[in-house]
Amino acid sequence: MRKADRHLLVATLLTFLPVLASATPGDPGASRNTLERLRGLLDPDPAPAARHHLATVTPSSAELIFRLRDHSELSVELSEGVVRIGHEPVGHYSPGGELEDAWWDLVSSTVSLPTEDAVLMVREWAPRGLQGEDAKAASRIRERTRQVKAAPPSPAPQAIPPAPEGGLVIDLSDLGDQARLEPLLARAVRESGPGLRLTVPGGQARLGDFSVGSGESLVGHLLVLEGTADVYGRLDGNLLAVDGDIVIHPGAFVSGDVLAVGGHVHDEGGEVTGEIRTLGSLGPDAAVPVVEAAPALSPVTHTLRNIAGLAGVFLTLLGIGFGLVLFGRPQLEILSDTVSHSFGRAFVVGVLAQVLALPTFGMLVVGLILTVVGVLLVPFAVIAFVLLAIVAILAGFLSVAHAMGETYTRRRLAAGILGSPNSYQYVVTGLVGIAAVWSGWAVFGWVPVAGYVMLGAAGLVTWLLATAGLGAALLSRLGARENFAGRILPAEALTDEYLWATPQFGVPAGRRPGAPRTPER
Amino acid sequence: MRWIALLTPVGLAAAISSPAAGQALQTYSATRQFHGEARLVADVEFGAGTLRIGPGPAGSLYRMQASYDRNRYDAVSRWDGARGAVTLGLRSRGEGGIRVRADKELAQSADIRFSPQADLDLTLELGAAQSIIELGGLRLAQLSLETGASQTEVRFSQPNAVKCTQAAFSAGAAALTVRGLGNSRCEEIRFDGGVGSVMLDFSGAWPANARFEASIAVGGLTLRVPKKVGVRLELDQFVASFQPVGFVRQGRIFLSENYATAERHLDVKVSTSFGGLAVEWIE
Repeated sequence: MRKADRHLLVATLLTFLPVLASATPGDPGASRNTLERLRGLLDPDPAPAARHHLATVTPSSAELIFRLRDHSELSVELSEGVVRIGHEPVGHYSPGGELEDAWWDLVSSTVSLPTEDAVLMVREWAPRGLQGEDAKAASRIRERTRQVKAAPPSPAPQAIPPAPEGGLVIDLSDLGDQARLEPLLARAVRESGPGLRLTVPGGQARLGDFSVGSGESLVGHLLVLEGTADVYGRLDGNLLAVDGDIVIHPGAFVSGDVLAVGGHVHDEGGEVTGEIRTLGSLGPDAAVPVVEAAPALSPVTHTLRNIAGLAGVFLTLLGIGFGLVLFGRPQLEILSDTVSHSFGRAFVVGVLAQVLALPTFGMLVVGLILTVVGVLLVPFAVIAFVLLAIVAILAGFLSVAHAMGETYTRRRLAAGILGSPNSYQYVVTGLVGIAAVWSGWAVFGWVPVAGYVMLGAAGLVTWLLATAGLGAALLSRLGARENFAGRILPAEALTDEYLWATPQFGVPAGRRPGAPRTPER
Repeated sequence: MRWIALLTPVGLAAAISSPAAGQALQTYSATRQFHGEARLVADVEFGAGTLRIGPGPAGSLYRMQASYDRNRYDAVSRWDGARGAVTLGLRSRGEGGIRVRADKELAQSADIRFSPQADLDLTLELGAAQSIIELGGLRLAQLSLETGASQTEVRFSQPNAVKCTQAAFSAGAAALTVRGLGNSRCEEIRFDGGVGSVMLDFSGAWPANARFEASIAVGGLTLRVPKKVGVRLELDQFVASFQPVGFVRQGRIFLSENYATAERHLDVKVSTSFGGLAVEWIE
């Protein structure tokens, strides 16, 4: 096998593996669904299937109608020189010509045939020797009739035996309860076949076509699977047909509800005292009747999942932090200095901001609404408020990380350990520190009580830091106001006396014995 | 070429693993034959989509045809035989979240028809819906309409066959239009509005006098009244705007110029804080 072929084989296997594996082990229905999807893709003839056909021939017209499984129909009619498909004129033919003869023969032949044979005959119909309009019309007819294929025949009519204890039970006393019925019916359809066992409390279940005769009276609910239910007589109970029609003939009486799933209810003049319902189809999600609870994760899986989540959040914040350093380092440093120098004040402001955020937002919106022009600004104000809040929280939190990293790095430098004193390093160090707080939960989060305690502790610490960061962002106006950080000294304070007596950042200064205190700003 | 060969199974697998059938709209219909019922109590709950309501054929008491997002909604048709009451509509399964999809896939719709032979007590609760509700030709005995963020048009194109005791409209952030209220034969009409835009058109046959009470928070209310009808307007306002065109003011009461001579009268009482009220005169 060539190398490229091996690659192709591996890629194919890897691609299909999840699809095939998506079928739950031990669930034949899921496997069958997957295989049906594959089969559907490979099916060269995805034409709609015909359930019934109707042929009508008169001296002046010949019409063939196919009723399709998707509840649509295809009609082809040749009448008085006009060809109609779906009741729309699509062409002309010569009365008494070759096409008329061929079509009349075809329609007449299908009258006595079962639908599957009629479909085959129509699909193979290819009159020869046609010319002009006749040839064009025949071509259009063939083009449309080839889009029809025969539906598999209904199963032979038979009673479905009751299920043993613990088997499938479908209670038909309330046909309005779709949520309960759909999964059960889906299971019945999935298991449909000679081996199907099904109990209908207070009634009976049938497979294939079934009819209640005109002199007949049936007591109890009736379920008909994969067949047409014809009611000529009396039914005292509810009637449900799945993948089939229900026909209420003149003189029929049903003293209950009627529901056709995947079919139609034809009310031809009978009486139904209950509700008449149709449901398009059983949902694909209904194929799984019971959703089992997810199995408990093992401690290793739990830990790996937590670590992966923590790493994801860490990397995301790291990316945003690097972007912030790259594009807004001065503002980030001001925020960071605000946190360092006014942590308590920043925290209090952060708490107040969280308390007042919603009332402020409400007042902003109401205030804008009350002014005539302001109403137009409401959408923009809402978006701006939300964006500002997100930016303030994120920038504040990263500035806390920056401050933590800066403090740690400077202490290491002061201790003589070489490092890289730049903002990137500060952000990384700070985020690693915060991640360390969460690492305990990531590793031991699966432990029954301790896990929750660690989660709570890490959450509390993170909230404290984020609150201080938010407060710093507000105090420093997102880094635009420097004096809260103590970065700008007033001009009058820039005296030798001040500089001598005031400790500068990172440079401890001694106090002159007996000197007065530094004047406050 | 090798890449095409590698990508082909990927596309194939994607096609298999995302079956379109799971996203299709479910179709549902429910109908009940008319068996001489004198009265029908109908509750319509409609979460989202396009809704049409109107008179149906004589042979059925009610009929609903709906197509809906089966993953998020359930079709409802519940009959209470003891009360002669039915609940119809599309009810959300209550699963939150935001779904990003093409509009076509979310195009839920329902068409509901009621018998023109039974007296109808109709209650409508509409969510994010676009609705056209034709009540002309029905035997409407009582109406209650509650609508959220919707666009709703209610029509009385033909005179109501019976007297209606009350029509109550409640609209949140909705655009509500009611046409032909003069055909409704409702003795009392109430409106409770939030921040939406509402237009009530009182054109019609006017077989009897009517009372109208409205409470508006912030939205705008426009009343379109035929010139032949005498109007008495009592306005309780805070910061509301109102131009009394065609009215004569008597204290807090506004009387239309033809009030004394008009054959039919509409007594209007409006309470509003910040809403706007406008009265337009029509032929």
